[in-house]
Amino acid sequence: MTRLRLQTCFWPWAAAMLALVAAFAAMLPALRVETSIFALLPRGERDAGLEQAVDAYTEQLSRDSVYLVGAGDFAVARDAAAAFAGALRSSGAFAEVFLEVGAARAQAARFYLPWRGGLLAERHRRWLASGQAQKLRDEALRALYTPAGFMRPFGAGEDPLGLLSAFVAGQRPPTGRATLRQGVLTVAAAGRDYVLVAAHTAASPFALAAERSAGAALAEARAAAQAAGAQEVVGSGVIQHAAAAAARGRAEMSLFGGISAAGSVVLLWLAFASTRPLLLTALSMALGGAAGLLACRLAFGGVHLVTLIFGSSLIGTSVDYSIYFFADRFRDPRHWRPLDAPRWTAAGIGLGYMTTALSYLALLAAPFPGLRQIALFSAAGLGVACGCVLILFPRLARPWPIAERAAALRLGAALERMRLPPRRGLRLALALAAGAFVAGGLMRLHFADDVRALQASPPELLRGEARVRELLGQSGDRRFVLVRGDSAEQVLQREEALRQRLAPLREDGRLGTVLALSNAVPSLRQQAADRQLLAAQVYAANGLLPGFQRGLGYRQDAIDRQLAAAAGARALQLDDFLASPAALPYRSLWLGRIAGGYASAVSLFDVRDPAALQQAADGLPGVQLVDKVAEISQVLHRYRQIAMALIAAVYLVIGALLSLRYGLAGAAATLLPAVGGGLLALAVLAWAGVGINLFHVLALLLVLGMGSDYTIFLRESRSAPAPALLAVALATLTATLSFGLLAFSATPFIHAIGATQALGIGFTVVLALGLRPPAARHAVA
Amino acid sequence: MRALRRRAAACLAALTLLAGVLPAYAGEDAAVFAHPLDAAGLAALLGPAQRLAAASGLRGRFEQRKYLQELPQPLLSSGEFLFARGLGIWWHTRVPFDSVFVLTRSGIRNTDEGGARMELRSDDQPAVAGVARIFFALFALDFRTLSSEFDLYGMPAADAGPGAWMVGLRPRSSALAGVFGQALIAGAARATRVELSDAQGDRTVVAIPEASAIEGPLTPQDRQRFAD
Repeated sequence: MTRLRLQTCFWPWAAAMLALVAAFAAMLPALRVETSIFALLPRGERDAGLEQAVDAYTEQLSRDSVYLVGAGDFAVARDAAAAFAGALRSSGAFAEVFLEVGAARAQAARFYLPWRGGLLAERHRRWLASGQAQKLRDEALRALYTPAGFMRPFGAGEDPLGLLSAFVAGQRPPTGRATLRQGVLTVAAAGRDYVLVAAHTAASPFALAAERSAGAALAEARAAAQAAGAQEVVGSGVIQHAAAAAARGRAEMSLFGGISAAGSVVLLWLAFASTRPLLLTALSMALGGAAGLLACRLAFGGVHLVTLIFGSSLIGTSVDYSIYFFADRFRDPRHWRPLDAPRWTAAGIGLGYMTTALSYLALLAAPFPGLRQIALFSAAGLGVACGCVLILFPRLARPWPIAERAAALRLGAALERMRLPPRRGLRLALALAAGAFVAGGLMRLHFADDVRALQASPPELLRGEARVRELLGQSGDRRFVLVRGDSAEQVLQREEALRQRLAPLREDGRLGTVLALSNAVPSLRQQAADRQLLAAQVYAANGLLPGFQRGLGYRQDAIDRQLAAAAGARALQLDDFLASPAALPYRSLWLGRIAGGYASAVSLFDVRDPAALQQAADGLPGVQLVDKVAEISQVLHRYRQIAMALIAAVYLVIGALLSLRYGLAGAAATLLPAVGGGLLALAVLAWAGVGINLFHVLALLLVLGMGSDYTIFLRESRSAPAPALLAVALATLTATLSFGLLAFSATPFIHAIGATQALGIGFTVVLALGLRPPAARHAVA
Repeated sequence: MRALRRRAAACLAALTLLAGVLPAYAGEDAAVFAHPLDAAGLAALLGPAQRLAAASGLRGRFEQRKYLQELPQPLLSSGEFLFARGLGIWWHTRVPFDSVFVLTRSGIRNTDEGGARMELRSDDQPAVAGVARIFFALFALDFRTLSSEFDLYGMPAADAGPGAWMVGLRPRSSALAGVFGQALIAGAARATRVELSDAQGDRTVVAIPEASAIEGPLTPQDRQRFAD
């Protein structure tokens, strides 16, 4: 019946496969490969607007990077920095590269001149509002008679009281200790001068193409700086890490995929010693891979690098079905016909796929973008591979001659004779030892859900990052504040309310610099209040300015001109500001229209008291302190718990499914090796002191899916166990090979999955072989 | 009110006097910018004055005149100063009010007679350390450092006496030009006059009627002037 139905499917399936190949070929050139770890992780549990704003800001932020080019002599450092910046500019990977910022800063200050009559520094506002105008007068006199005046960006003619100078000085650029020298920013430390270069990438650093070009540009720029005499180039910014991770990912993907494929080919050749099984296996694997990619492209619009790495190990799984199919050849060396093979193998392959797919589909239920991709990729890819084996192979395969003493036959026979361990007492002792080992392991089990443990960058990059922080004497915090409102004006007003709350924290050092847009362009409400204050106290006929200038000896017409200039001051509009060079340090903070409102980010430096910060941000409308790391760690924690419950649920479902065919005791016996293998793997990790995270748990779920394949293969071929044993042996070897390789990945969570799965499958197979139902022997007759 | 008017009248008189003197003065100074010189050439030109400036410090009196646009008469101030190599500049204005200005690598401190203090840390203000470096180099007549930020000019000023010279500095970067339009230093056995002009046309002329080199280490009292 099954055979008949599968036969009729041949042409439709072949046509479907051709269509798949065509669609895949059409989609491949435009395939977007994503590499951000955050894209893999679940979204925080927030409203969509906030989420969108957080994304927009982190995307902006991830494009910025800062480099310090150091040499023993300032002039050399400057030349090397120029070479570095030149190489970045000519690469085209960076939209903007900043080296000579001195002129831009001077220009940025001068941008404010037309609005000088209405802008106030915090200090001056306080003095004027509290009747201490005298202090302002003293400060202005000091600037005129002592060298203090040289520190002001504006002269006495443009800014007689220093109001605008103070407003501009109140804006601290986020470059820490760096000072201006010959138009560039520089820091000196330990006998070296460092020159600062800032860059902004053209595209999101997480697009694979951008990473590749930025990574190459950075390598070239470093070489150029070194050739120009730089002794040290350190950098800070997401792009370097992304580029490093992408390069590593690519290398791993091709290495693991290559070894895995080559290993499978060698194993298949050793087992079957014929080209046709090899080619057909390769065909089913390739079609499976194409189907997985296509499914991801259709469902998610692109594919994540991690899915690709993971997918390269799919080879190890999909090859199992081919092996099981071709191993059937040894059931009857003389009269085997491929068309008969499904009768013996279809149930095993079908059930095996079903359990595997079920565990992958369980992943699909978790709102984890990365896991859903892996799940969909695997379920689709394995489904197609499984279909190919069952539908295409019977017609395309040919019997091939096998030697009487073929290696595969001998291996199968040897495996059949082997029953581990042979003596009953020893078995009991081994079971007890294993139980004790698992119990001890479970008692030592500890969990580690911090997302930072999942981001591993090359140590030299992390050292560079720390060095930049140390040299600039400040560190940007991962936390930031998101401010939202119905209008741009409301956003600015809310920012001002927040800054007022943060002021005490800054004064006693619990918080460093706060970079906020409203610091550079006050809300219209604030500007109106300031203009009013100024008009009443400073620019009135008997105000501070006329009195001050008269005292110095200015003529009345000169004073009148000053007053007229101040009186004509308009309000500074946000759009005018954003279009000006003064907006440069603030540009990434303004998020503009988002989800029906407006939003901006306030960036924080040197957070020393997170609790006080949270308290300050609490209760302000539209203001939210965002700490992505903490949020994601929390989410990881929750989903780890959910995944653990999910494992139990999937076991129950698979158990129920199997009990329909094998009965309750049979189902339990079929599941035991997978359960035991998973527990033993977990115990090994626990004894090794590994903190268990979500990805270990998910790997256990996959162990369940694949491990139960093996017991099912064994059980389904009780009447002819030699081929099944051979298939299981080969399948385990290929699976351990591919997942064992993942354990060597430098990406922590791929490593976690690989190690857990290699251990779990290894143990499962040992158990499956050892606990193989003895009934098999009698059934042969 | 009447006093003020009388003062204004006096100022006006002073102005007319000055008006006759100033242009010629400025013109003579400007001539130096026709004579570019490198750091080594300047060192040769200055001779003993630069050796003096190379001492571990310098102390003296100053008289400052600030000429502002639209202000008829210059603003006068005077006091004493101390330049300590490696520490900073201590600038004590006594007239018209008492105010101490201390410039070090780490920032600026201003203390008035009323005890009012104002601080600007160079960690907070990128421009402060840059200005400090230039002022230190000016006091030390360190032309090697200055040559990296300025184009240098120099010539003998024979009509001002034997051994007299004049040095001119013009900033190379537009960022610096916002602070210093140009600088002139004049002297003979030592620097006696410094003139700074900014981009808006305001000028500060500092005369140094008295100055002496500090040989050997600073006294604890002098050291204290630079402590926080």
